[in-house]
Amino acid sequence: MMNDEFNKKIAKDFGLANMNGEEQEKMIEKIGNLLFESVVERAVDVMDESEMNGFEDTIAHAEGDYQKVISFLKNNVSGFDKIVSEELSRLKRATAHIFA
Amino acid sequence: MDGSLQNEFNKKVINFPVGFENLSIEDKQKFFDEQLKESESQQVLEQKPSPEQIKSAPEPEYYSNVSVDPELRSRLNTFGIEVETDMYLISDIGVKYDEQDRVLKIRPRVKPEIINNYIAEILLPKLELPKEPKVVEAVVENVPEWQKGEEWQNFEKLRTAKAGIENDFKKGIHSQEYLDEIRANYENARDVLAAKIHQILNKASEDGLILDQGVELNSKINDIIFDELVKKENDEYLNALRADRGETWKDKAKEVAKSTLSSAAFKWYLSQNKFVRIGLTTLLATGIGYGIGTVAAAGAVGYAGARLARGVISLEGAAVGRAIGSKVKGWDIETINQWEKRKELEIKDSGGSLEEKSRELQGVKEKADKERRRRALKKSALTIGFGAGAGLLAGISEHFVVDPRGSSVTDQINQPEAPEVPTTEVPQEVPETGMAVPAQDVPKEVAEVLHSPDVSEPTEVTATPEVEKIFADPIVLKHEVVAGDSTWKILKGTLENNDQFKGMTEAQKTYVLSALANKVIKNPSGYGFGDNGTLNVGDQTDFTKLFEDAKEIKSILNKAKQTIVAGSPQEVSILQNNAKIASWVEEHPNGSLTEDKVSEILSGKPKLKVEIIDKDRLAREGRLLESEPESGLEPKVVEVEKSPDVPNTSNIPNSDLQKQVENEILTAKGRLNVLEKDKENVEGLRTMAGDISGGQEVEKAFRMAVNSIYGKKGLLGMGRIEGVNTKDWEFMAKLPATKVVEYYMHDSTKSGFSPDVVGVLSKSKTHNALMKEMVDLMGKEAKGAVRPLENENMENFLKRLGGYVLKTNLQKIA
Repeated sequence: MMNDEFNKKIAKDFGLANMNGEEQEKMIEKIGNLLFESVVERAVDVMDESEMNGFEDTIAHAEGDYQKVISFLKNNVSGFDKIVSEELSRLKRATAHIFA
Repeated sequence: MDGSLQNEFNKKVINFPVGFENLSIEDKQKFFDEQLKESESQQVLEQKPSPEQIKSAPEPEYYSNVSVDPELRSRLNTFGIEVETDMYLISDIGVKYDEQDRVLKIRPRVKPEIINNYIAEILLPKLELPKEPKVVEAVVENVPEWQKGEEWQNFEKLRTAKAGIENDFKKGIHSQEYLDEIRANYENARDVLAAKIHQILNKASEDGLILDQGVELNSKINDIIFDELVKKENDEYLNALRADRGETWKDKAKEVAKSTLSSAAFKWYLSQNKFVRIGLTTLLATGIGYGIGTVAAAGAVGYAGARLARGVISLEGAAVGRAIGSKVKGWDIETINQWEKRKELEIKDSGGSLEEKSRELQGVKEKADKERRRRALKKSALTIGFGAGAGLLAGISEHFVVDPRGSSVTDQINQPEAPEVPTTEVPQEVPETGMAVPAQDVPKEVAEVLHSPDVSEPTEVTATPEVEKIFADPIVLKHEVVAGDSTWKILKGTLENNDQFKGMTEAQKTYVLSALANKVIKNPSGYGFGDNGTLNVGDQTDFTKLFEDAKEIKSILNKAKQTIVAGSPQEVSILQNNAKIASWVEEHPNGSLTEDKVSEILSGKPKLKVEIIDKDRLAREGRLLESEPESGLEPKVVEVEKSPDVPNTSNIPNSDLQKQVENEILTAKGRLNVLEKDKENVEGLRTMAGDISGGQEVEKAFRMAVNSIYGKKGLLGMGRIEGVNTKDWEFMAKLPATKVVEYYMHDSTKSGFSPDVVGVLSKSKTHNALMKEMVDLMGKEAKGAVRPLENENMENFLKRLGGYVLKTNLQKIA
């Protein structure tokens, strides 16, 4: 139930509601790329040197453990949640009403 | 002197010039030097090998020509340069280029390496013509149709400008209004281009220029739109971020390091497989962006099409509403009030219909109220949001953050969808999603929550392909007024054409008619009525607009069916009200039904003078609200909604038709007011008073709080047990509160509990968790003001305690 709710919510928020499942997944992946890139850019902006070193180290050893990467950012970047929220909102605006 | 002389240097005969003997010594020396030179040359000439000797000469160095590297010779030839031997060449290295004749002269017996080096290192580099500029043929790629023309160029400029302006706005360079304008312009242009891309590609498909059709065509369109409009916008945004970084940072090394680091991070991301990337997106969006619960460590989870493992997102504590869990920084209610005022002015000045405006205003009000509540709760140190733990406090506060009508996801999960408590609530006019607020219109602190990602931007209302029709024939929406007609009657007559309405009971029909009559009252001229709702015979009424939102109408009809069930208190109440009014009208044929009169009739007693308080002022002032008697707080102050303007009845002509219409309208208004005042029966019109003090709301909040500690989540929704239904809670709920407090806070041996009870309490982590929360509430929050009463059980005590904490904190904020 929760998964369906989130699926619908994300699809609605990003204007993907009219797409089939496969198309939605593809588009979410693309949007996810943009999201991660911009979140990291902003996060890095506010890091000090030791945090940068820590982040670099985390990436170097993370391999597929993305939770570790996110966890690092959450715990070390001031206002990270806000950054994520703002970037999500920005991307929602960017995708509103334009897809087939 | 004889002109000729065989001198002693050679046998050459020297012809002395006439007057030689008269030359000075210097001139004579010069003459002899010249002769000597000539003599040397002659000797060389005389030494020139004969052709036979040349042929037989074994040593190539005699003949410089053969000493030239063939490749070098070939390169020289390309410049039209020949190579010759020149025995008279006077040159340091024995090689010299005659530019005029384009001949490379080489003295015989010059070493080959000297020749070739000279050619390769000196001559050819000089001779090599400069590379001609590459004629870059403009590779005219197939420029897409939508990129042709000024429209696209202007759009790209606008996109770049917007990115820069957004960045500058963060630095306080531009105003909010300017940013809004730019954004609006950009988004309009973008939407136009998106539509253009759709159109072009659809046409291309129809014309057979591209093979894609149907789903594939849409996929192609979406890919192009994503690349052209979304990705490029994102790129511009990032460019502006990075450019700004370069401008503002003096430490270039740091700048470079940061750029490198972010690139490395993105590179890492791209190197992951699709599922990891999707999992990460999910984590960011759901775990943080939508403020849902804590995220337990788990493997990569897919998103669309894949199930999120139940354990990934823990909803323990149900303590997460929509807030993101950031720290409260200077949030204040005054900011929200200002925002609300500004939005109200904007809406009032906008060009929409009255009905639309009133709907939007309602939405703004609701949102502002919710945010004022949330801020009050946050400031009172109730933890809400991401990662907040379980607990009574969090459970209670979460309830008041989340719409009690159950629109939060956590609410849906923690409490199975139960039928709504039947009420006589007037169906609200605002659509479920309410009015979304673009973040840029709101002060920063407010924007974070008001524009929380789970509140969607208002989407363009486009009719779904199959709009459910309320009436088979829209002609029924129009009516010519005849004698005896009234608003109520016309509306009822119209609705009788709808099968669902037709099959309803009298009470249900009254419910629906009241709701719709209320809408007519707010904008009578929109439906063909006079400004005061007056009607004349021959007037043309038109309810098309009233029923255009089929979804809303359906909602009203369904609600009537679900809530006004046969035998229910609500049905009884409505029928009684109808009877009271009808009875009064019969008894007072010449009387005028004013709003106050209707209230009086329906309440069955002379109307009390009550203070009508603005809902907004209530929130700002944090008025002490209606409370339960046993709490020991002050008695009721009844808060009522400001009633809509009552038409001035004295000026309306006293015709039967007019009177009837007037009475109908006032009756509907009166019913509305009574419903609003009667908070025992009405859940709908939310006031802060209602939220906090109403018994029903505290009950709901309490259940959520208990669920946060005692609830059993089950597995994927199966085996879930609500907290208040668990045996553990049943055990605790009945215990005497005084004894429990004594046991946990003071001397456990003096609590008076039996050994069995002590045994259970001492071993149970769940009970201990509850007690810890209770102690915190009693001490830190209530500051000892709330103590258990004699003969009060734990359930009642906790409800009272929670209610008190919330109310007092709201007061503090005010």
